Amino acid sequence: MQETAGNAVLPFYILCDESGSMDANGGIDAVNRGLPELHATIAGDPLVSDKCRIGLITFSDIAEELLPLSNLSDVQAMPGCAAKGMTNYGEAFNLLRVVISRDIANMKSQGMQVYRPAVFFITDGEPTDDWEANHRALTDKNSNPQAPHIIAFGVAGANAAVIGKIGTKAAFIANQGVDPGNALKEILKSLTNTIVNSSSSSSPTLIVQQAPPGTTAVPLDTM
Amino acid sequence: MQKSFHSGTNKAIFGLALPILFVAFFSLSGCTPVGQDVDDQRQGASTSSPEIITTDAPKPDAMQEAKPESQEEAKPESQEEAKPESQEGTQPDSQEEAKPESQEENVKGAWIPVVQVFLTLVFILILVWLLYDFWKKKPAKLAPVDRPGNPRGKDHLGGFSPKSKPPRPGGVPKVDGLKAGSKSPVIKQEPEVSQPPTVRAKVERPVLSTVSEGTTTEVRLPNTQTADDPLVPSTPGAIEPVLDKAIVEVEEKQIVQVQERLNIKPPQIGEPSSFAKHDWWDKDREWCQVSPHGMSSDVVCDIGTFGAVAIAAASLRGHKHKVSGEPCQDAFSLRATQSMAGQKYVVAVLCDGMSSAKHSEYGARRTSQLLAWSLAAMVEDQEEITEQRVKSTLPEIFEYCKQNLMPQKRNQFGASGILPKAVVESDFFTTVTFMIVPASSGEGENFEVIVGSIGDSAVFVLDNSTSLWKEVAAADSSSEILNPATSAFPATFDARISTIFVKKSDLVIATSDGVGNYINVRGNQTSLGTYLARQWGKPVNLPTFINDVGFDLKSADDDRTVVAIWLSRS
Repeated sequence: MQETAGNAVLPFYILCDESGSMDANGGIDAVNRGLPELHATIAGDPLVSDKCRIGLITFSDIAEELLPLSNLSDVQAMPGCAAKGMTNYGEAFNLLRVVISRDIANMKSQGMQVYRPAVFFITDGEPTDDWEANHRALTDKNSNPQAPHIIAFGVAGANAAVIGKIGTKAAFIANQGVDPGNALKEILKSLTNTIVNSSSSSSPTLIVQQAPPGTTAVPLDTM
Repeated sequence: MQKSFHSGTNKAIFGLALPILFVAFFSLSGCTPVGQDVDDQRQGASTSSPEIITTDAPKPDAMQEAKPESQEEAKPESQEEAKPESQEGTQPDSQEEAKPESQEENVKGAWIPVVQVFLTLVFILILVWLLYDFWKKKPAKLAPVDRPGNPRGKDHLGGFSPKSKPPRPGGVPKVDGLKAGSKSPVIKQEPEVSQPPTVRAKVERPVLSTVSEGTTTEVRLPNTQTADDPLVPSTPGAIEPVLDKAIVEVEEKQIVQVQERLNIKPPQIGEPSSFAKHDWWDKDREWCQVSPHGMSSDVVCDIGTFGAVAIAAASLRGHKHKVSGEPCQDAFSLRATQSMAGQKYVVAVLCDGMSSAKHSEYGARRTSQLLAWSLAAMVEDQEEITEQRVKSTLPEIFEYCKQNLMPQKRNQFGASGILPKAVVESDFFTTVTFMIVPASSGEGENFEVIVGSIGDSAVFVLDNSTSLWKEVAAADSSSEILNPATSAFPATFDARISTIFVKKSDLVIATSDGVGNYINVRGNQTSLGTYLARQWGKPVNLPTFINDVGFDLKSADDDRTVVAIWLSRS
């Protein structure tokens, strides 16, 4: 059945690093354990599941759209991540811009009211490509009216300065000595809470949680 | 033979003659009936002739010896042989020979009155029986059994044999061939025999009484009776036998309805929401909880007319607050007032409490009441209501509302659970939207409605000629991405005031964002907008209005309030 004209939708995208380093530090396992929990939490909350849509994009050498923007109550199981390759941020930002444009157009064609998308960026290392141009194309509201809010998380070898540049709404870096797997576990919990709280408000608003345990907020870079 | 046998006249004659003959026979002959006991005879004789018994009384032995003779041997003599002798005047030679004769004569004399009494009683009994029989069978004896034209199959009593046709209900079965004006008593009896309604009513009465009780209960079921349903008597005593069948049918139909349970559902706009897929009382879900502070206000509504306009308003608690067990944070208030020039106005105020405010449900309700009262007072003090006049007066009105908004003591103005010393102004933040609508009947086709708002609650006008909604006062929704930010009273008095021009056939509504956000999207009317335009082209009754406001639309989980004012009641 086609979506109802007038539905209000708050889109969320999870941009997750699945480079080879994520396997060694246990990051992939943490993500693959956290995603089903996120699925269960959101799908079981009618206020959230009716209002938010979740998409999953992973990146390594290339970027892939593992889960198109979906109502999680309609999703049987979340796809899993598999570690491989390098850490190309640019590929992810480029794909994300295309996907957001496509999704908003699709939702509007169905008469939905679309709130500004929110993106959770998760990585465990520094970028291996030239990513800034693609990032700018994505986040510049002048050139891209559909520019999303980005909340960036970095663990293990992630660079705090880079994370601060990527995030447009908030940025968090794991503390020294914190196990990447445990940090990612807490990040996914925070991510879930952000989705739930933002979607539950009468007028969906992105409500960013405080720094997850084991992480520290990074000042955003004002470009 | 039957005719003569059953003739009462002949039987009476026969019955009268018989005892007369008996009486005459026994009186004249003086015979003792066969088998009469000697002792009885003696006793009867002693009562009738005591002297004879005393003089001629035999000894006991002699009596015992003479007993057989007197009964068996002397009896023939007295009847056949001794009788001639006595008539001839001969006397008996000895006592022993004469004794039986004298005793026999005495016995005869004593038996006569006894037999007469007996026969008299028998006669009376027979006479009574004959009279009774004559009275009882009086009609039968007049039955024209063999009259010409007597219908085939009809018996001698005027009834109907099993082979005859059944009598027509409700009427006397006319006898074929019976002359008009015939006054046969048999015919008069027929209606008593052929009254099926009486018999049927007695048979079905228990069903009637049951039905009447059952239907009385069924009729009270909410919303189970449609315009096509037959009327069901609500008073058991009012049921008449002729309605038995129809009432039974009604009962059966309503039992079916009870089994199916007519549960009104709100209009479904597109894909069902998660809430529409489950009952609110589902034991596995806590999706509809009562507010612990009371006044959940799941439905608050008003309808009515004033002057030329019709008004319907309703606030419904949204799913969001049902899940969290919070009260509805929307509120409205209506006032009917009149200017100094005698012009009628309806003042409507709608407030949508901010989710971030701790006591927004109170803030919205209290603000709507204060503002409606203040605006109505302003109208009453003016000759003419203009946008400029409202703009100049509104700051003072807002200030008054702000000063009187917060409760000064516990439970004041229904402020349940609010401690006056523990609250701040932001705990009562709310949006404000008001309309001042002319309500006087007039010749004009166009009217000026003054609207004002703080926040994102919208005002729409429905053009009935196009069935399209036009948003006239609200937060801007034409931008690419929705902006949920909104201002609130009493943080600001900066209200947008404007005058809108409407036609007499238009409908003006103020809505909270729980409804207004889903009527038009980027200037395009949604499915909900089209539905409401079709429904509310003219005033609707209150249940319909509430049900419409309770539409199901995915993601529309906020509280909903609509104040609708139809500018014409025709």
